[in-house]
Amino acid sequence: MMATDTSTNGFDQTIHAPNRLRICAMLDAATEAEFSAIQERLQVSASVLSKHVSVLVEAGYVQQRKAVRATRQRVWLSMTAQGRRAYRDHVAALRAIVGEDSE
Amino acid sequence: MENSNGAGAPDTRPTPEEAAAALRQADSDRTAMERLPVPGWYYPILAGLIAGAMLAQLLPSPFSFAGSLAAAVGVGALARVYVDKVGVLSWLTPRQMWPPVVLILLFLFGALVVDQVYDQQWGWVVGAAANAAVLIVFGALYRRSTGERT
Repeated sequence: MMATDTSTNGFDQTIHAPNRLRICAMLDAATEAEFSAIQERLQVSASVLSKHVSVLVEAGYVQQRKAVRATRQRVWLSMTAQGRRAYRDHVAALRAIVGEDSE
Repeated sequence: MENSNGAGAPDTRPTPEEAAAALRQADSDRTAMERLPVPGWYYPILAGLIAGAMLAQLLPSPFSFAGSLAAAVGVGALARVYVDKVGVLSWLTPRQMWPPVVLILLFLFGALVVDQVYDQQWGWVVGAAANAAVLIVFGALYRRSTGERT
């Protein structure tokens, strides 16, 4: 059964891909997270994560910052304001599909 | 932004069961970020720095300021080491944060009043000990809530 309620309008295919939804959930809860911290939680390879991050960056939902610490380059990820809005709209759409009231 | 299509994904909506599963997973990931593991040394060092900043008020004028400044720099450095270690910069939720913050400000304000109004400096010692205790207890409770041991 597919929901057609207008409150599901925030549904976003870019975010909905399972790993991308998880990346957005983590980044929405944090100010900034290191690539490897997200990778560890997702249990995926760096190339898989990199691919998902690229899609989110291209959509304007996520931004990357490179920093060198102890001679090692680290990539920090954070959500843009547009990304947070899209993620929250998407979660509201999922809640509407489930039949819960959105927050 | 509505119904974007990313990476060639078809614009198909999940069933309520699939949506519920996706929400559960997202909630779990979100919670994991909100309840980051904290090393056992973090809160005792933070408690020492906060207590040190308060005890520095017992020193004569230029040294009290230098002591407070050193403690503030120490708190910043501690936070940086922690963020580098866990790989996440995240703030506690207001609900997690307000109980210790309110207590710390109360003891700080109390010590300031005792000093300025009654010209008694013992308030800084009591306040420093109380705030160190608040942070150590809060740290222990937080670590217990994240499933860590001691």
